[in-house]
Amino acid sequence: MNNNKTLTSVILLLVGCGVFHYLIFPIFTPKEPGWFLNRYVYFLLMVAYIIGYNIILNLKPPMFFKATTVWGVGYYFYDAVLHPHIPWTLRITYMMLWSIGTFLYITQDPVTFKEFRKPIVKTIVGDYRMARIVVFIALPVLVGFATYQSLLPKFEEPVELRTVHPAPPATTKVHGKSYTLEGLQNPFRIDEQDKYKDSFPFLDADKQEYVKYITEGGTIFFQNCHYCHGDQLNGLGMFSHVFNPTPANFVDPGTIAMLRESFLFWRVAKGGPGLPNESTPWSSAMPPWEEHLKTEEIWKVILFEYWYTGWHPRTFDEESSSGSEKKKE
Amino acid sequence: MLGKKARSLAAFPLGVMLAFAFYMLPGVVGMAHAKQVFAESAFAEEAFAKEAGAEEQKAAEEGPKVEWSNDVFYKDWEGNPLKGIVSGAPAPELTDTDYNHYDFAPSRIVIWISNQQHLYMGSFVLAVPIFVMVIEFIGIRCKERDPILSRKYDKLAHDLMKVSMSAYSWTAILGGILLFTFITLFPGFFKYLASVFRPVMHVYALMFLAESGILYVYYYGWDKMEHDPFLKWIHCSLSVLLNLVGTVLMYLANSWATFMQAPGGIDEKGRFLGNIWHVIHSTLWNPVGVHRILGNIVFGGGIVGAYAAYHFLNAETKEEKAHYDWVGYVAMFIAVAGLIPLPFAGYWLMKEVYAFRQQMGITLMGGIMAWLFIIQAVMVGLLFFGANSYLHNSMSRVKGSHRYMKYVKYMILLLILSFTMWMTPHTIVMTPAELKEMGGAQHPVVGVFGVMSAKNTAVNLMITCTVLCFLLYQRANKKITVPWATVGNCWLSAIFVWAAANIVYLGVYGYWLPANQRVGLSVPQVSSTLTTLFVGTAINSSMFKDADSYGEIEWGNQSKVGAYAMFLLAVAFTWMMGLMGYIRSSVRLFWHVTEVVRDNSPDAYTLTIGEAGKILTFNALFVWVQFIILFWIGGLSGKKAKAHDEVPEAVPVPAQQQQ
Amino acid sequence: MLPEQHDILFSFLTIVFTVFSVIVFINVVQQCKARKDASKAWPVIFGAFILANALFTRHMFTLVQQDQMSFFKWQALTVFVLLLTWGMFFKSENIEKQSPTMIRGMFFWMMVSLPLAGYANWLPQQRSDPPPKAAAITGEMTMEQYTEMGRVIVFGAQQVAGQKAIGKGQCPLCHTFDPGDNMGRCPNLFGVEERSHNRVKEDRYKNQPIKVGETDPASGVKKGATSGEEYLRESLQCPSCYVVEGFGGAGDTKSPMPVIVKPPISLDPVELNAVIAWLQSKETPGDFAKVTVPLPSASDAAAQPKKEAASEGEKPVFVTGSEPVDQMINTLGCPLCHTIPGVEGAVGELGPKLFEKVNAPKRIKDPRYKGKATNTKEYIRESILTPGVYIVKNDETGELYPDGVMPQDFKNKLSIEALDKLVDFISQTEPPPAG
Repeated sequence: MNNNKTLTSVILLLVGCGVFHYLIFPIFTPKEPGWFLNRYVYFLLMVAYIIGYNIILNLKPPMFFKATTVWGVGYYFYDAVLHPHIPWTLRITYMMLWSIGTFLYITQDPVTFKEFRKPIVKTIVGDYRMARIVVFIALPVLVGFATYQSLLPKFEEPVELRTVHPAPPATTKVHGKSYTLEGLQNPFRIDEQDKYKDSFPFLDADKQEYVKYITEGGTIFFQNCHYCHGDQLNGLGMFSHVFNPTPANFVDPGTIAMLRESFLFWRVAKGGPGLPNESTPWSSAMPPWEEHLKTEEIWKVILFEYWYTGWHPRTFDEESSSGSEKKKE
Repeated sequence: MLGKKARSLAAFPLGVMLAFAFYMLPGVVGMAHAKQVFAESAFAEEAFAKEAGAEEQKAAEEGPKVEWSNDVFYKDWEGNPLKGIVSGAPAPELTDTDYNHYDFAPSRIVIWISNQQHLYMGSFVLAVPIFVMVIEFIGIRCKERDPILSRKYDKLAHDLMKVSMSAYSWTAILGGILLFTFITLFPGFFKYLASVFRPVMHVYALMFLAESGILYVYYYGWDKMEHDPFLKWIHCSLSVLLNLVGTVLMYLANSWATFMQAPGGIDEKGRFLGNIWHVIHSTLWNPVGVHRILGNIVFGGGIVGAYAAYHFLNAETKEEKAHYDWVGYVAMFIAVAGLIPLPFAGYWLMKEVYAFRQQMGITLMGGIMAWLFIIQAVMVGLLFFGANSYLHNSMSRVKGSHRYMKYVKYMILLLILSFTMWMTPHTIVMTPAELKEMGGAQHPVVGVFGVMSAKNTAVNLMITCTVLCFLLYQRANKKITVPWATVGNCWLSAIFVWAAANIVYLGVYGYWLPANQRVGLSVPQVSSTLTTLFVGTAINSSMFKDADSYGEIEWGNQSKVGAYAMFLLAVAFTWMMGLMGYIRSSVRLFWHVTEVVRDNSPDAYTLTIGEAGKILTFNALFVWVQFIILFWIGGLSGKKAKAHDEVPEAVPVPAQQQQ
Repeated sequence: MLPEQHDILFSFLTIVFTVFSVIVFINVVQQCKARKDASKAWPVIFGAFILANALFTRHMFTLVQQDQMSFFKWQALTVFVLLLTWGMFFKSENIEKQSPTMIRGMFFWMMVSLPLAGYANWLPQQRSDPPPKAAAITGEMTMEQYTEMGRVIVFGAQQVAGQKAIGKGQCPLCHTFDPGDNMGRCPNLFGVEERSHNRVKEDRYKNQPIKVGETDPASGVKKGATSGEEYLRESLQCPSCYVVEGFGGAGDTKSPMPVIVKPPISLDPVELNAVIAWLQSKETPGDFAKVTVPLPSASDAAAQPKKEAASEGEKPVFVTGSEPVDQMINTLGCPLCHTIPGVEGAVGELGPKLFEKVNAPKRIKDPRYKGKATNTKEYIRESILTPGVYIVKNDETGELYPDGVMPQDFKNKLSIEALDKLVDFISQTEPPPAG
């Protein structure tokens, strides 16, 4: 009886997942994912199906099977559902976590642990003879294949770890003048930028000094920066795809939104060559703009970037909250 | 003789003379006294004038010798740097002659190992008295209710103290080795540090007299002081005193390390400005002290837990198994109780580091040391997994727990998902092909987990989940009979649901806020978590009044997985201590004393994380070899009062059951 | 660990493995003793394992870090085989209570700690080195720092808005440095390094205004530069040893440039070399191949008066009025451009000679004069505080003296008392008696 139930659940699982993956998945991955027609809803439906048939048919599969299903579902999610593909280092991390979670699930009490071990013990001992033969042949083959794969020479570029947000130096010298980055303010930030959110630069530029600076900054931006950083400041400029690291996306909350203006000033002025070693200055394509722009032009560009994206530069002042900033980079 | 008439005649002059004497004597005396006082005061004035004159003259001759200088950290009430009189030599500019080295290892590694081993053993030696104090106290308190259990607690406290004795002298030996390493390998630096901390180092050494004295009386007088209730209270007070002295000792030693990282009380050139309190009381002194007290509790709990788990696995008889299962439970309880506030102390420490030097803070969390914090995240995850696994396995042996065991898998799922968020780094290591496929350095879905908003959310959810598990464990074998049970349960559910919703909501909301406001959201998140802990425990415990039991807790039925979970916790604590200690020490980069005494040795560079990982793994393994030896020595001595000479009638239950 | 030393973790592990094999041996011997019928081969096998491990350990300690890591796998494999053999022993003797908990515990410990160490090594590695040490502290400096020091002497450390960048050397008062910028008064120094080599070979250098080998009366220096560096040094120490064509007075025989190593500028030898180093490298930023001056040694640096504080935020020149007049005049730098009777060394040719007792009244009456002064003292005060109000005509050349050369910021450098004193003094200056 139990064997029949187990067999049923195995068949339902394999067939069901096949149907889901090959037939239903394409339906849920249209060009424009919507609120309902997207991959994650698809995944939830599949999980619901798996849980559903087990409950409805009262199958009560054994622990070993449950554990492998759980593990497999996690693997499927990280491999096929999460889009775009996460880098393999992250996938290994996530799968390690999922495996640990599965292990905790298995070992939550001695009863379930014993139940989980039962089929493994039976296979090794020989009660499931066919399974034992298959496993004992398959295992060395798998190990051999894994060894072969690891020894096979590959021709990928080596990975390079970069610190995306290095610690800025205490001072920097631009155009012969030494600036202390701590407490350095943008001299053109003469007012709250939100007040000028909907100002139309061309009409208002004569009246309002702030908008004039933004306009000038925007002009500089479109003359110099948008080729890489994009005309929508999203890091998708026409040249962006050839660079590694790619040009910063200012719209992303992890770039200028998290940084101080003095940090930006240093970065724009010094560019790639001004980076410390841990940020791989040799691979950055960012020019040192102090060679092409005046100091005030650099400040105005920074002003423009914040205004356009709507982000505010970070402050470390006393009036800010009592918490510290634990930026996990 | 004098006739009546003569008597009356003589009486008058006698009376007059007497009266005269009566008035004159005090007058004379008074006058003499006044004269003397006047003379004294006149003399004093003269002397003072002479002295003052001499001083002035001296000052005039030598010219003003005091030099005032600006403190490198402390400020006065106006915000200007505090001024102090220079009273020390400037910091040396160290050259090659100020360093010695051995050929087999760089000096920096030798000092790291000696320091770390001393810290590990010191932490243990400070933790055990805390435990013993708590356990002895519980033993005294439950003496009337359950004399057998009280005896058990007392015996446990005594046994732990015995182990601590050999550890204590071993710690002192390691301290001596550390001191000699400083003197022989870093003489230039140590000369400067010793000159600044001169009185502190002496006080530290002398306080060991107090510590040792109290310790010996406490330990050797145990049996003698046990039976008389008053003496027993004295004995328990001695343990409190022992802890106080131990804490003061740790704080004194901490001042040297925090001075190196965040100096105060000296000027830019390193000259001592006269106020030893400023030197001791660096801005990181208190955060490090609090963090270390809590860390000691956690580490000690881990060690005792591992000790108990080992004996549990080794036990031959049922009683032994039961005993060590119970010891493990007590140890884990204390360890986890210390573990929960520990991240907040760490947060405070980071905040002070940022306040001291933002650059140091950024180096830690965004710069070259950022990956070490990812490794810390891994360790925290291991800790949570170990603690939760232990709780699950512990719960499973409690009768009546089946009704809660079915929720365990959901708690595990929540833990794993939270930890997935927690582990996601902001900078992902990837090949260029993957970078292209992702379309940028940030993944559109997973990339949002790289920032603090997500991490805070994740860790708060994990802690809340663990709290929930703990509450369920507490009530597992109880049949609640209080009349307001349903209301109580509703409140508990509401608190947890609200806390989870609040944490998630604030986490998501944080993305739309500027960075410095977003960081402040951690406060309400943490408050939600702490509310579930304190209020939840309070409500839960008060529901146990007059509860029926599903059955006693069968000590001794812990599964092997639970025992290994305790091993995992012990090793994870040890490794984590090594890691965080390395971070704290190496964030100084190429300074011995930040921005005052530069490290000019050949080892001044920052190690790669791989090298650091290898060395601290060695440290973690090596200290456990020492712990094993110490426990073995502790078990060697004399009366081996085993558990079987006190066979209890019933299997003992923990005190909390007797609400 | 340095690469030539032992790796600490692997050294530890190898010892642990040997100790482990000893413990296993003891355990096996104990078990065998408890059983009468145990095969005698077992202790021998496990003894062999001890030997193998001991040999491995001894070999490990002859290796350096990198080799230890690659050799270790053999010992790990041996220990794995040892474990399997131990398991076989238990199975064959039907022993129920198997490996002691201590062993299991230690293996569990290692199974947790070693992957953590491995994880730390799997992450890409970065190493951070300390920055080069600052010059003033150790007395050693890099060429980059030395040329920077030279640049600071020429231009000053901080650029103050609205003011010309002039450092201690005062060079930009007269010299220009950008290509094509010829003010006319002094040679443009763009490309001077290249010229310095050629100039010493020129005929004009060797013979004008004094011959090589002769001593210049003004500075006391014997002319005789043979290399570019010596030429540059000589130009600073003895400007009149050779006057660039068209820039000198009296037929290009007298240089208006002051002797830089004497007051008021008084560069010391280390500073002089710094300036030369900068001159030699300024056209090739980052490349110091053309610099021929040596770096200062520690003794040089120690002898150099410590002025780190001053070099970062230069203490502004300020005269309080309590100094004697000629000291005030020297501090302010007037002799650089003016000839002032009564002040020794004040033989500057760039600006008008200061014979104000005679000249001032004439100037006030000049139709070109647009200032507000009505008497000598007022005129002098106005000339000091706002020099641009009236530009004096050079009677010898018939042209106006150049505008904008006299510093405009003397108002920041004089106290009222000093100004009064100065004005009093200058109002008395008169040309030397004729004849």
